[in-house]
Amino acid sequence: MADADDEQRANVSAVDDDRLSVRIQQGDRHAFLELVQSSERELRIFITLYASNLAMVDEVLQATYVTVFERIERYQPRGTLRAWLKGIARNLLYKELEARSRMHALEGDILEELLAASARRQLDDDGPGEQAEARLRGLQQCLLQLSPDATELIRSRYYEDRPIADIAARLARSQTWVAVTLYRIRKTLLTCLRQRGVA
Amino acid sequence: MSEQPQHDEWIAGYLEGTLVGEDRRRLAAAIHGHAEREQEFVAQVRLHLVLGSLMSQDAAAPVLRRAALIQGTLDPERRRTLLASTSALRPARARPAVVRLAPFAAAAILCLAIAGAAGLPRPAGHPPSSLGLVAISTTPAVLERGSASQPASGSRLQVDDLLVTGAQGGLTVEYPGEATRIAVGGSARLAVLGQPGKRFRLVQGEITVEAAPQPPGEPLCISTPCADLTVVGTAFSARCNAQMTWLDVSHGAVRFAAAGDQQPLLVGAGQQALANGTIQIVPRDAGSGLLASYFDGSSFERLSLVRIDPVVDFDWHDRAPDARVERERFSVRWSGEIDPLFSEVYRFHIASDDGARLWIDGRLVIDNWHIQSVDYAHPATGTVALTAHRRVGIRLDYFEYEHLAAVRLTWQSPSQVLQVVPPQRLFPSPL
Repeated sequence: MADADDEQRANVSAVDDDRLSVRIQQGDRHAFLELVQSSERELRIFITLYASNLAMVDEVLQATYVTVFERIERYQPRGTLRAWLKGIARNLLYKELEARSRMHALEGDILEELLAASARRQLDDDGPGEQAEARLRGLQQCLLQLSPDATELIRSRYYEDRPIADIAARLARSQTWVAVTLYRIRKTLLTCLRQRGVA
Repeated sequence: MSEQPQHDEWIAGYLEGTLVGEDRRRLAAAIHGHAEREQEFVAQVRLHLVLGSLMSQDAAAPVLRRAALIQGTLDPERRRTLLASTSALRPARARPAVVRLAPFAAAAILCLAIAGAAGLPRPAGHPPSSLGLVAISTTPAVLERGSASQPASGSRLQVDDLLVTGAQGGLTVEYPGEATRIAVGGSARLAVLGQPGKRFRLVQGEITVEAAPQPPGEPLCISTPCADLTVVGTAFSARCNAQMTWLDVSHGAVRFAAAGDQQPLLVGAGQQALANGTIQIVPRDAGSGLLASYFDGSSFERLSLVRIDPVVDFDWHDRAPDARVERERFSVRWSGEIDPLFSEVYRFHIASDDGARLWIDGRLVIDNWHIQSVDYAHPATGTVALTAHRRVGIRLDYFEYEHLAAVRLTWQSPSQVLQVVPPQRLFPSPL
């Protein structure tokens, strides 16, 4: 049922997007803002799956919309507008990761080079989008399987966006304890994702 | 401690931004060339980023709610609160390229108890309208209600609504039948907290308020992260982020106190003030420096400190600028206005370790954004024509990568001797 609902929503959103693209091509700037508002969340998550840090997410997201704005006149609705957006984001990600990989190698920053290079490989392996969505769905399922304490900690850290110092003070624990516990919860989630074949 | 727990702790510290210097190098050495460790490190980082992004979206709310409800971990009151208010309580992420909020300052409340004589007229007999609000969107803006979003324009607000404006967006909240108006600027988040009175939480961004006198016991209150304010005037603007609240009073007066401080300062018309743990009055007519925002991370990742720096002339060597800022890999953004004495072409110079960029009047004048050692004899330079006593915006971005840290901003013109730009010619303000 949920899949059918999702499919229906996707169809509605594809039709809406095509209407939007026509309005944008006709020079309706308001329509472009509507496109940004309606697609930003999905696009941001997609970019985050491959970016090597959150600063890069914002950069690529912004560059994607700039590119869309510049090229919208040439857009032909062969697929969906969202797929086109993701394609542009994918190309920008690839270039950015390549550049960063080279820069970090020159600087001798092993950790950042490793992150950029692995993200680039992941982008190659995943192809255009389906695996990314499967991974997100899997993550949502894995989150539901966490213990209450783990859920609470994840909620504090990521949903409320609390710094670990704040969480540590609230729980009367050390910051190291909070950081390591979060690490272990993520490890549990990664195990769950691997079991689902979407790690 | 065995190697594996140490390794786990390093990765945990890396993700929280607390792993620096030698420990970071140890982590790199420990995982380099070990396929399994590299894979674990990469997987942890990726998941950390995805969780941060996924959880910041409304989509996370149903998942978390369902998780909590399925697990039966919430008592009825907590469950009700969680279901009703998750979106309103969610803090926003700092901008730009933002990663995490820095440690929260204590909660603060901006309360407007309008003095009748000073306030704008309130129509006689008009009943309190705490929630009878109409949001007029001047440019596209969104109202988030629970897990749903709708255009803000024309909405009648409810408790726990969250108003969100895009970078170019904005909206105005009006109360039918009275002269109170709250103008919300771009990239802002304003949560409706409800009664008694008109209560909001400005999570991020800028608001400008014109307030009519409020009924006794029903004040107009706006909470922000950093200060307690009681407004006795009628018009002011406030900007806030996780580390500071910036107040600009147009007319009337505002009692302004650091969060929890019982001794407020009076900020009068034409004055500005900065709350960043303490309160600092910033006169509009006398130069005092630039507003300095210090971030952990070389790319403005996490705002950790806001203060006013009289000049930009620092040699931190290998020390941190402040105990609240990382020793390495930090960045600083100075902002405000500059007031030249002469109508001439000015040459600006920046000597820095590492990179710096300078904008004057919105134009990029110096772009020297790379890792480097400071060279006072050969600074980066750029020129711009300025008009005597016409203030223009100035913004200086700086990043430190590793080891030594220094930055100096100087200027000269045919009439202006080469000097560090002095505080008398600099006026702090947020971007």
